[in-house]
Amino acid sequence: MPLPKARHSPSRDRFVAQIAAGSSFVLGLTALIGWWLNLDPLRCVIPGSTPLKPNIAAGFCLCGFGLLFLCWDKLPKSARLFAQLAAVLVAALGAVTLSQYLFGRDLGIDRWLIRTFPSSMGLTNPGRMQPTTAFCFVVAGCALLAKSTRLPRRFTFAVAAGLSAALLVIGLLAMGGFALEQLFGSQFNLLGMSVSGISAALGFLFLGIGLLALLRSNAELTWSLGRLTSVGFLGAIALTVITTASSFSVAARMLKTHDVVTHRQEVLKEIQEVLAGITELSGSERAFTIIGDEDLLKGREQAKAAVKAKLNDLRKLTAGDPNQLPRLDRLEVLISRRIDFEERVIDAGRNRGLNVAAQMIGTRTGLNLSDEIFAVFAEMQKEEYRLLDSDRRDAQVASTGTFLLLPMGVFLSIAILSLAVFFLNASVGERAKSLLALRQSEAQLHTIVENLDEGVVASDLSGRLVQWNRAALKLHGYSDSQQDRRRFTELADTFEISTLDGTIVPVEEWPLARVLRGEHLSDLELCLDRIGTDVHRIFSYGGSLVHREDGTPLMAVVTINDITERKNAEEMLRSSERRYRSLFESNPNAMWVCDCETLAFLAVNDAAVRHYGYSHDEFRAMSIKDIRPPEDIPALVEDIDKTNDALGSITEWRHRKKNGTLIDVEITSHGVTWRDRAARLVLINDVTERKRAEREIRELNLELEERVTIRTAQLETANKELEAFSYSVSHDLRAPLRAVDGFSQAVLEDYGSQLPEEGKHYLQTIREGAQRMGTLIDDLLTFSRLSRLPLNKQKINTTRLVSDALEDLHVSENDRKIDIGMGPLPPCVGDPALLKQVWVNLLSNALKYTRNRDAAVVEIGSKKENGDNIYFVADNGTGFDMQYAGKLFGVFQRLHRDDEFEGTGVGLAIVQRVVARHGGRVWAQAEPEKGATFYFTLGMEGKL
Amino acid sequence: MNEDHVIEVLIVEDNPQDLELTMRALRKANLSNRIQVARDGKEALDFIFGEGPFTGRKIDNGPKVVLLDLKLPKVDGLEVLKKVKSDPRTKTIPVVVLTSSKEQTDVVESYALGVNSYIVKPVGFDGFAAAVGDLGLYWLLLNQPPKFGG
Repeated sequence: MPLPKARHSPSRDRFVAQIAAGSSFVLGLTALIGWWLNLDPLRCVIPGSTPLKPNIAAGFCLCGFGLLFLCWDKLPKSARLFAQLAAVLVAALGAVTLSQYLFGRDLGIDRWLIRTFPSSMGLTNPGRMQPTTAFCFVVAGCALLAKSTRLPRRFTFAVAAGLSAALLVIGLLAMGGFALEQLFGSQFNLLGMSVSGISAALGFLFLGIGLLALLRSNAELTWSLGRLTSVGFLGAIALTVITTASSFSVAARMLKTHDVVTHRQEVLKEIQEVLAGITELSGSERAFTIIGDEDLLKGREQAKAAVKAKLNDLRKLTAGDPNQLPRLDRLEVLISRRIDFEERVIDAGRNRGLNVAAQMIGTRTGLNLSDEIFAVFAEMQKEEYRLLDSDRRDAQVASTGTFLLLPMGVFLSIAILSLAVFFLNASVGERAKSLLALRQSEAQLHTIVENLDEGVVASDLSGRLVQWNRAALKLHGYSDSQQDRRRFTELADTFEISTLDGTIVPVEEWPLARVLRGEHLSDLELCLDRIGTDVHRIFSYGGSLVHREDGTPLMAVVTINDITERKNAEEMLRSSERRYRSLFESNPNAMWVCDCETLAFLAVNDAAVRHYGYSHDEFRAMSIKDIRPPEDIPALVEDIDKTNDALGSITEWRHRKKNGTLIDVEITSHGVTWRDRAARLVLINDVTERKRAEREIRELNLELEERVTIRTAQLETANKELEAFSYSVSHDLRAPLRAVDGFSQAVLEDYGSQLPEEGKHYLQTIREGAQRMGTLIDDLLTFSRLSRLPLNKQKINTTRLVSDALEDLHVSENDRKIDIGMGPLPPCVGDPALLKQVWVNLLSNALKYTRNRDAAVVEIGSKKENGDNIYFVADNGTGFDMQYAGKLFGVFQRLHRDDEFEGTGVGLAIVQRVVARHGGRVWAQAEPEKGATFYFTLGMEGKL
Repeated sequence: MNEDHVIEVLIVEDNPQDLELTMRALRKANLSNRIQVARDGKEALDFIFGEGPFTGRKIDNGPKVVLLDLKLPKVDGLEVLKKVKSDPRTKTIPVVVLTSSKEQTDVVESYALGVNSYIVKPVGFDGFAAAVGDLGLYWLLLNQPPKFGG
């Protein structure tokens, strides 16, 4: 971007204004010096022109002076006052001069500087400036005044600019007129303006230029009319000028014609007078000839002189008519011959008598001459009349033309002016609208800028900060109302800028400085510290110069983004990334990252390298497919398709190491983003050993199962065998017993009468033995069954079970007095059949051993001890000696003789076996002859 | 062996002592007419179905009751029971299992096969005799058999 030139524009304009003012001042001063020193060249300023009148020179001095003051940058009050004074003086000068003209008074101001004037400047009021000049000074004064006052800008600006422009135009026109006059002759001085010479015109030109330049330098003057409007105005002005010029020229022509007509009439008059003179002469000659009175000749010399003089006048008057000149010559010749003739005649009359004179007259020579003279005169008159007619016609045309042109021109100018005014109005209206729109958009823009999160700082081209938006203030630690408007270089004592690695950035390299130099900044990351506080932030700067429409730079704008958080986050991310990277790298398990689409390895850790045997490079050249055994690849593809990003999906696969070994691996993977690609982070757990162990276990389990099955089968077989054994025992053993018993009975029945008592007794004993053996067999069978059969555990209503047992024992009230008391019996869990057997056995014992009592009392109940239910059966029967309690529950163990109480000794053993199988225990307490109480529990398993 | 006379009782028993005792009991109960004895299962079936050595015997003349022991050689008691009870011609014949087996399995199986009653032979003869006598009385005199040939 080229360096902007327009930066010098305001000062250039100011410079121009100063030069112009100075020139005007010098102009005036030079003339004044010339007047004081009486030096003509100086007086005229421009050699060859008319001297510059002192008032004018003074006026120019004052104007130049005032303008110079106004060019001052920061106008102190005194300077302003001076300028105003100068302006007032100049305006007053012009006004007073004008009033002199208007009222015809002489106020003596024209001579206040200089008393004597050279004759070249005219006789009447040589020092008085022309009215047009005076008018121009009034204009200049007002313009200067307007510029120097503090009235509302619109008013002063309009007045100052308008009047300055008027001055400029007037000066230009005057100069132009002069130039035309010099080039083409005075008739082209269209406006007929005489501005007291070219110097004055020049002076006003300077003033106009200077004032306009000053206005432009203050950036007050910008040409902002629409092109059309400007053209309209210029056109109107040009038309006005042309109209005025042409009407002026027409009017001038009219005047000239008038002069010409007057001139012609004068010629005619002269001719008439010459004619009259000659006629008088001839008359006097004739009269003398007739009368001969000398008195008649008295006036003759005078008349001759008068004729001669008139002829001369005529000659002068007709000097411009080439047609008339020869006639005039002839006329003179003729007139002189006539006069000569008349003299001769007179002479003759005097000397030779009147008759001779009359004779001479009679020769008609004189008459012929007179005729010729009259003829010539007639010709001349005719000529003059002809010319007069044509001149009159010209005059007619001219006046008609003026009559037409003037109003037409004026109307046309008015029309165009009014058009221009309306265009102006329109453009002003548009301007107002666009101004409003501009204001609105400005307000909007302002709001937008204010509400940005980005900080925006604007400075002028000299680096002075003009605007901070809210965000920028906040970022720099200012409050909302503190608009720091210093030059940015002065901020070096408040802020310190450094690069991200800590190098201090000097003020010349601050973002704003760089932007002012024309750089375009973007994403420039720097640290900002507020000196004296611990405010330390990282900003991202952007910025550039803002240009006007015409390309000249207007201001510099810097944007500030607070990226402290982002940078911190980035740093944290980086450090966390480092941590994770180290986790990845140093993980004892193999880990890798693979691409989701191509399945290629993106990164592997050292453990993977160690474990699989491939190097890092080899890995990166491979994909997952190369790691799997070939037969697994279709499944792999399917799996990858199904895989979602769910964290911690664990699958088992087989992998192949570099050396071909197949290993079982457990893969934990989840989705990650790796350099913007969808990838999976995979943790590989080599579970080959584990799998092998698992397999072993499974096999062992199976083996175990088999063995168990076999064992169970064996047991079952054994059980079955036992069953069969029991079956056959129960069946086959009993049969012979039956035979023994049966046939013994048969003998008894059939041959009992033949037998002695002892024989019968023996047979009876045989029978008893057989029966006893049967019982024993039954009991044994029951006992063995109890050990084999599985418990069919159920909830048991103990009370009901006991009632059933009692029923089974066929206990009825009619039998001997048995008092059976039943207490509360809590329910339990167990095999109902077996437990019923328990109760049956216990109860039958109770009943059996109370047989000898008159009043048998059997108490059935339960009590709680240590959380266990203890069931008991108490009787008041025979009881037993506690000494032998240990034998109670042995098989076939009896504590009573068989003749006392029958029994096989298996009942209690059964009870003990069943209770033990239920996880409980059984015990008894007794005293001989005092009864016995049998207790049993069913353990924790039996508890409900 | 009675021929063509309506046999009232078929005793199927392999044990000679048991058999003798049973006969004695029946005699004591005056029920010893028309008794057929089969020493094993096969004989029993042959008799019931009129086969083998009994070919020609009318099934309709079937016994009024069969006293069946379970432990038999050749064809087992349960087999006999099954055969008898599954054949529509003979299933109406009351069968009483008279055995020394108290095994529940035997009981259950017998009833499943349709036995009419199951008696366990007591060891003591008195009981045995009483049982047999009761049986005879019940099945031969008290119980109404279905009319054969109907």
